[in-house]
Amino acid sequence: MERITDLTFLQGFTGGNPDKMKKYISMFLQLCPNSLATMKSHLENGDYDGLRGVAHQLKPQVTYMGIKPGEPLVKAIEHQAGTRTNVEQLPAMLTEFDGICRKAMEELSKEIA
Amino acid sequence: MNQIKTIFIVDDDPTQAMMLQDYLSKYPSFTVHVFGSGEECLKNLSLDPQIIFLDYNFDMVGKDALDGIDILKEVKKTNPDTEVVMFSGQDKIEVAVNSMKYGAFDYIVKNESAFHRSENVIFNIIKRLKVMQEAKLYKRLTMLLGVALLAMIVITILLYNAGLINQNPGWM
Repeated sequence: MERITDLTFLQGFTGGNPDKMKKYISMFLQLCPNSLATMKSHLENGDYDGLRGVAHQLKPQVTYMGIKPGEPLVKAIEHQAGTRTNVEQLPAMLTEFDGICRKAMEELSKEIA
Repeated sequence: MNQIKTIFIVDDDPTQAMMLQDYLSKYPSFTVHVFGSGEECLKNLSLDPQIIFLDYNFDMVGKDALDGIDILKEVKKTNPDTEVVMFSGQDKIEVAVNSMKYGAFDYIVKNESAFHRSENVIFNIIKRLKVMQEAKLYKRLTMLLGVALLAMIVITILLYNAGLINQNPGWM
């Protein structure tokens, strides 16, 4: 299966230091499941501002972990939730984003194993 | 590095804050303090930071949390010489304009180039501090020269009135 994470940025940022790589990846692996659960909960409760806030916080991490297919999606979730635009699309977008993040977390876990 | 001793990083995203702190650790002369909220930052302004890297949004702290612009205004009120650099995940022009309107030195979007840009901003702040310091020095020198010139004129008049110097010097 094709990889969805690209660690080029992180390798450059850490100067290839495996301890630093592990530190940042571990922080993401800790943050991401909670963020996804919170996003789902906000969506279920119709709290679009809350959803926008979590998407906003997760967005840079998605970029730093090189989760390329997740970048436009999290940006769109943040925008649509913040502006209440096409909110009916949000459940499907969040499901797709969740799938991408879970796949990314699998890859990243292997990276630091 | 020249004149920059204390830097604050104020961000409710611990990963972002830690990455910037790690990035700046290559300059051991900086003392970097990290705060997770604007309220904590304001409580510690007595540490006299020269630069504050400040997040624009503090949604994760709580709905009543001060936002980046509130904190920026407060910092500029109490520590006007502190340079504030706004950080945000949004690349919207209005966010940048709003930041600059309230006195931010610069605005950085949180992406792969954010860390390198932060370093450049520090260099720009150092350059500006140098220029301001030189301007202050020139102002003092100009004032000193003015005072010296005035003193010479007064002395000349006094000496002339006392008849100690001639109206027509001998060589004329």
